[in-house]
Amino acid sequence: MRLWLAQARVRRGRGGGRVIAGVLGASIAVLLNATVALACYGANEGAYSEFTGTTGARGASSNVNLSSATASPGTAIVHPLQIAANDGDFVGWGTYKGRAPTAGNCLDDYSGWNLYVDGASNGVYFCRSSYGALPDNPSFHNFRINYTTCPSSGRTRWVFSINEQAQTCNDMGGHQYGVTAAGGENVYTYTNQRIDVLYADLTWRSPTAGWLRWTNSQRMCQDPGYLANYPDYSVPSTITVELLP
Amino acid sequence: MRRGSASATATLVALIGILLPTACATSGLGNGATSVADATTLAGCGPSAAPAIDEHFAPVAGRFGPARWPSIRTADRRAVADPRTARVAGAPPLIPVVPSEVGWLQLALAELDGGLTMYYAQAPVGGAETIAEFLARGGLAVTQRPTAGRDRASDVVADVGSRAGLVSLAGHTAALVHADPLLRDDFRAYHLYWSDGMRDWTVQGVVQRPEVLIDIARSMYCP
Repeated sequence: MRLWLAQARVRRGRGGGRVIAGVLGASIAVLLNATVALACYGANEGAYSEFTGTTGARGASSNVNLSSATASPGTAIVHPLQIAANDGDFVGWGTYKGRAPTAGNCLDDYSGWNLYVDGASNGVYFCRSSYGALPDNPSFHNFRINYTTCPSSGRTRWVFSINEQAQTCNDMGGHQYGVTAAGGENVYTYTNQRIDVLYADLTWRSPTAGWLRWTNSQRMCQDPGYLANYPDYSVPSTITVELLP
Repeated sequence: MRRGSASATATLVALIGILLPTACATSGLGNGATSVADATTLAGCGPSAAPAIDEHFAPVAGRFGPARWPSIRTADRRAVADPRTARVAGAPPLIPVVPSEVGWLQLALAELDGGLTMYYAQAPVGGAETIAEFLARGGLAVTQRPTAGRDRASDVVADVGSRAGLVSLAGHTAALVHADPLLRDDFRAYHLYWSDGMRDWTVQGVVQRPEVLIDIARSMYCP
């Protein structure tokens, strides 16, 4: 984090004194907030966990703003879903906007809500974001993570599907037991970054049982202090992310 | 699993490790009629040497996360008081020799798929402890499960590339990975993956030298 800050100051400092002042202020804010990165999940443990769900896309609110010309360094991740095994490996899926991880092959993108898949396979982290993006406009999407036959290889893998279309398949060292987790995150914490993640519907199951509604369905995550007004959680526009530079 | 017996066994294994290269050489050169099987069995039983692997890694701060791992004591996993009484792939499990500096057997869990995981550490496994926390305090996990019928080491190399290196284990080939950190960048576990044709194995531990894991794996095959 500190190394990155140093680079940001040099890069932006060429623009003039006003910019420098702003960056210094932002840098201080980053330092102050570095330890309070939002990462809120609900979790369910069990064997052979699978995920499915329906979620509204993020709302087309005017304060959904990460496309600043100065490319604010934050990252918003909404709808992250995760299944982690008891050997440390995990697979996850979500959408993000902003700065990509330095590890893996995800790309920085401040313009759209990129679909990504990340995880750890055989102890090594991976991240890929070559699956397109979801629109900013409110709309519903179905997603699924389940351990089944991968269409491309025929092997049993964790298969990620969006709107019933398989996107990618991943191995995980252990898959017999896991914890399913869903929520919202921000990383590379930036001041004024607020995330409010809600799900229209979220279910999980093990192969020996039927689908279960998520215990904490609907609102999974809310940044403290964010005063969102959602009189009706069933409306399509269920997610608002605010990242103010 | 007591301290004394583990130390004594570890010493014995160390002596075998020193003496075995001579035995292997003698077997391979002195008796051609039996050397093929013997050499295959004993190859990889000498002094351990870790392969060269790519030491670049993904730091905790450089990735999306964090992950939420399940507790080790998941309700669906059944504790086994004496792992020697368990069955894996229709046979008694192999029990490794683990150096006392790593720890002693604290917990054995039978899994739904017929696998068995043994947890070695200096202190008992907590009720809600996760694998990340367990490894971070120096614990070692050994998992054996009925084989999926594939070359586990080759699959791992195909998956992680240069992050893995191959190791000979008494005629089997294992893949050694210096894994990405789970909680802190200064606590990175080594993983060893292999299949012996009957069982698929995973050994994980935060150890100073990866040779420790290799020796633990070899302790189950080498005389």
